[in-house]
Amino acid sequence: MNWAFELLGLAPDADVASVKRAYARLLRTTRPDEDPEAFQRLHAAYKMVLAHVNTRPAATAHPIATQAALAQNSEAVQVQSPSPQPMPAQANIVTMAVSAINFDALTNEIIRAATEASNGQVLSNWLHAREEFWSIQVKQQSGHRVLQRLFQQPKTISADCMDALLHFFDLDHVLSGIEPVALKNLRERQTTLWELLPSNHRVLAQRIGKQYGKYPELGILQKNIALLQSPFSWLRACVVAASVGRVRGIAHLVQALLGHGNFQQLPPSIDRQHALFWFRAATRGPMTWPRFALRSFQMGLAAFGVALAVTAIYFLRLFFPVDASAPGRIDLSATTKAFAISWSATFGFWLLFAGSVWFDQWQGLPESVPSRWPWLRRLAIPMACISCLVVQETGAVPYVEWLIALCFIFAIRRSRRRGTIKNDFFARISDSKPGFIWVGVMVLSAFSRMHDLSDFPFIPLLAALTLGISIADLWRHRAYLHPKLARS
Amino acid sequence: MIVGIDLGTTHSLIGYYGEQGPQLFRNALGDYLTPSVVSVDEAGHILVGAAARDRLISHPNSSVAAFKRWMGTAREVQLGQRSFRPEELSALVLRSLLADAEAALGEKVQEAVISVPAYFSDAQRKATRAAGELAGIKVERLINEPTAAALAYGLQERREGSRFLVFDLGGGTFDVSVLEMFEGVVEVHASAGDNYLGGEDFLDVLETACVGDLKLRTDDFSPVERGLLRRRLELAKRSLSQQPEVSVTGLIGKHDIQWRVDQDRFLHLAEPLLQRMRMPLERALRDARLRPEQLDEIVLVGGASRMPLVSRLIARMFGKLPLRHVSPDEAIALGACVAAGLKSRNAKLEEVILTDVCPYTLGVEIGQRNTQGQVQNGLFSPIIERNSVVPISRESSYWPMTERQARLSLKIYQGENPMVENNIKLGELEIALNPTLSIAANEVVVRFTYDINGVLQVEATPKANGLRHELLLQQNPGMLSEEEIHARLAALSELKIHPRAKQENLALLARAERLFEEYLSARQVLQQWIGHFRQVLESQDERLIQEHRKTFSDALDSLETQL
Repeated sequence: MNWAFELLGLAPDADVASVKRAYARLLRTTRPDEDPEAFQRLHAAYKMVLAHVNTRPAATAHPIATQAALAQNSEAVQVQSPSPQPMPAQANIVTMAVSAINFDALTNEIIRAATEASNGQVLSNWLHAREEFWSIQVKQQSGHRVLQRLFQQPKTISADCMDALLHFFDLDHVLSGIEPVALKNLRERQTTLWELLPSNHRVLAQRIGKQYGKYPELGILQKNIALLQSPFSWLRACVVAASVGRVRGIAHLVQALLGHGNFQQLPPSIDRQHALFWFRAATRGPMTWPRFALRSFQMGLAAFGVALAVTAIYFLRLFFPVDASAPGRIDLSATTKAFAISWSATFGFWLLFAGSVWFDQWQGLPESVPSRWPWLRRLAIPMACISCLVVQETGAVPYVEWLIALCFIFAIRRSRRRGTIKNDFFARISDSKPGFIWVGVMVLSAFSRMHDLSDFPFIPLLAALTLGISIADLWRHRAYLHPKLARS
Repeated sequence: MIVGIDLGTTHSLIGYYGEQGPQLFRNALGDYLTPSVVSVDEAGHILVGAAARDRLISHPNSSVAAFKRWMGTAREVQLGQRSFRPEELSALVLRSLLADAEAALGEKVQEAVISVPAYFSDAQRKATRAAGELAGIKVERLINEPTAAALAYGLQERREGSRFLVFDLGGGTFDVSVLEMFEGVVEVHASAGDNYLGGEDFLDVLETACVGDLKLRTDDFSPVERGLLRRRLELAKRSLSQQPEVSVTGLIGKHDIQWRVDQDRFLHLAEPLLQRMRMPLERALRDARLRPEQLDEIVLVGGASRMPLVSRLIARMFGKLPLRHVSPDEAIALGACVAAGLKSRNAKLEEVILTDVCPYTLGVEIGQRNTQGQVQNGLFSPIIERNSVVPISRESSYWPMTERQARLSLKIYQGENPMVENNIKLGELEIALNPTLSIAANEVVVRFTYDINGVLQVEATPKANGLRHELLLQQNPGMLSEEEIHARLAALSELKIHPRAKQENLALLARAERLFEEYLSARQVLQQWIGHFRQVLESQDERLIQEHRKTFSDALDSLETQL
């Protein structure tokens, strides 16, 4: 502050007129087109001093007096015209005192108009026709109030109307002081609210279709919305899961409603727990409990279908026997057995698959994610590999080599998921095509070894590689193992 | 000698700062206003000014007007054998103006100050400079039109310590500036505007309404007929400023036009255009941090501000009636002359200093991470805010988005929208970062420097290595390069331009030809007169020609008033 007064050569109690005089005097020696840098300094000092002088508490008596004088002036219309032709004085001049306006009522009215307008043009016309907004101050104040109110409580306003509103009040430019991300978020939330009105479901369907490349049927979409608006129940979820494609449709709906926001920002009519369940159940990515439960239910149904088919074939064999001389007899226990075996085999495959997906995720978590048994997570693969080797040596369990090959694949995946540098050695071999072929050859060779097709000791080699990869991975994350290692 | 030039959409003027203050030069026809129209005649000669404007009616395919609106674009227009860029057309107008100035001063003019709309973009300003170079002069400075008008007005009135708003509605552009004058300092607080809003748009509105009311389409008219219709409507628009109601009647081509329009209807038709004017006015006032009642005066300049609906708009918005400049058409040119005087350090103007602002916000594209860690790209981060006083230099720091980022591409934009996709991209700068450093250490300092002529310079310096990168502004299709300017300058000097002495005869002939197209009933008489005048011209007897010119022009005057 002091530097500015010094630059202008003024005492700190200077008044506005002397500040301007000093600035004008100094400007003659530092012209903007001759010495830009000195001019910038001078101008910055001038603006700072002027702002300071204008807001100084000692000067308060003066501005109030001038404001009163100005207010009086604004009521009387000055007619000055140097041109010979008289000015059209019939113009209806609005000199509405800002204090006379009830801004709360006006704000409510604007918001109501915005929610009721069928499109942006209608709203824009309505706003333009209002007399109040010819006063620049009223317009400015009410614009900010409307936006403040909307930030507190989003309303059902379409994107089109929101744009018209922002444009009219000139709030959509970069210097308006409104956080653009927050504004975008607000617009998104309001659009969602608006789309959930029954008459606008078609627009929502179009948006989903554009976003995901698959236009949902309007009836199904409405059913899905109704589902999300009711509280969650497992029974209903199972019924929905039984119909083909509906889970995906609901997931798209939830994602479209969420936009870039979080679950707290979902429209209040939507049940959040319910939306969260479907979001977790159908989005790609890590295996979640809702997804496991739903998929298990679906798989159970599918397995039931498979079992039915197997049983049907069994019956067909009975009625149309290959060997006509030995007519079959309906054996109830054998039928039940065939049904049970085929059902559990199909379902078992699903459980195995889900289990391996879960295991893959669990062991691939980065070290920074806390775990109850961190050492179990670190050593699960090497331990499994070693125990498989031991079991193989004893020869007690057949096909244990398969598990070693599996361990090898898991080890590679783990090391890749946990790598922070994306172009290290492991990433390169597991990303590139030669890497895939290489891993494939290793695993296939292991299988051929199992079936005694080759003499090369693939299984011990695979086990050694698995252990090596695991140790390398541990070494890479040594900082987490012990503080002493972190320093090296 | 530095001259001041107002290169307008419909009219252009030239002047200088002389002994008695700013003075304008008359053209060969004795007018201050030279229409900004270029035409090529059958022999390939170039015509500029009133003659070209008359030929706009009679030869619409070889004449062109309102090309200021295309400045900064690569649009070309075919005239006769040759196609012209907007810079070249402007250069032809400038040459004609300079010939007038040189005839009056008796010396060669080398430098000029040209006025441009305050809201002209970087490309449009560069195009105006190129036009000056093509006309063979050095453009010493580009001055914003409202600022020029304010200079002319302020120095004339000599009011101390006043704040006022200049409302400049020209033929094709609309500008608003808020200024303050004190102790010989003219300080611009804020400028705003619309580059595609002017008197021509009001004419378009009238034309659409007229053609619609008559249950016709614009395609039903041939170019000549359309020119005639627009001319009638232009006259009607002008008389609407004085009369409550006008009627447009007459036979145009095979269409019998009978149309009446009153002021209320015109106000209703122009409503959308008036609404577009509200925003720049509000924005300029807000950026200047002033309340409407803190303005001492509102000054109207520009020909189109004569319309009563403009003063009504001002009265509604500000609660007070505006002041009309004594000569709204000349105010800007007079201001440009003052600026020329300032530039040449005229002793009488020594005490006046002008500070201007940059009308646009300039900044770069950034990404932002929200609270959920999602990245929002395409946000506009302003570095120089609009309506900062120029020259200005501002710097701002930016960091890479991710760890181990090797490059940072700095995209420079101009505009007001918070999302860059709605702004104008000016250029791009690639900066190499050191990926081994942390995000915080990879700070890049970006400095924008905007000079008094509206030229932007961008510098980016990564703090880690201190290597300075400077922006080479991307050549967009609307801009001419240095070599192109030289090539076109050579090509332009080969064009045949009618000597200034012949202008009067040509203007008279063009006017007669325009009347021939306009009035079917007088065609035979006009044809005779034109033929006769041509014969007289061929005799090359200067005394005879002068005599004939007088009688011919009087005859045309009386014919036009009769019809």
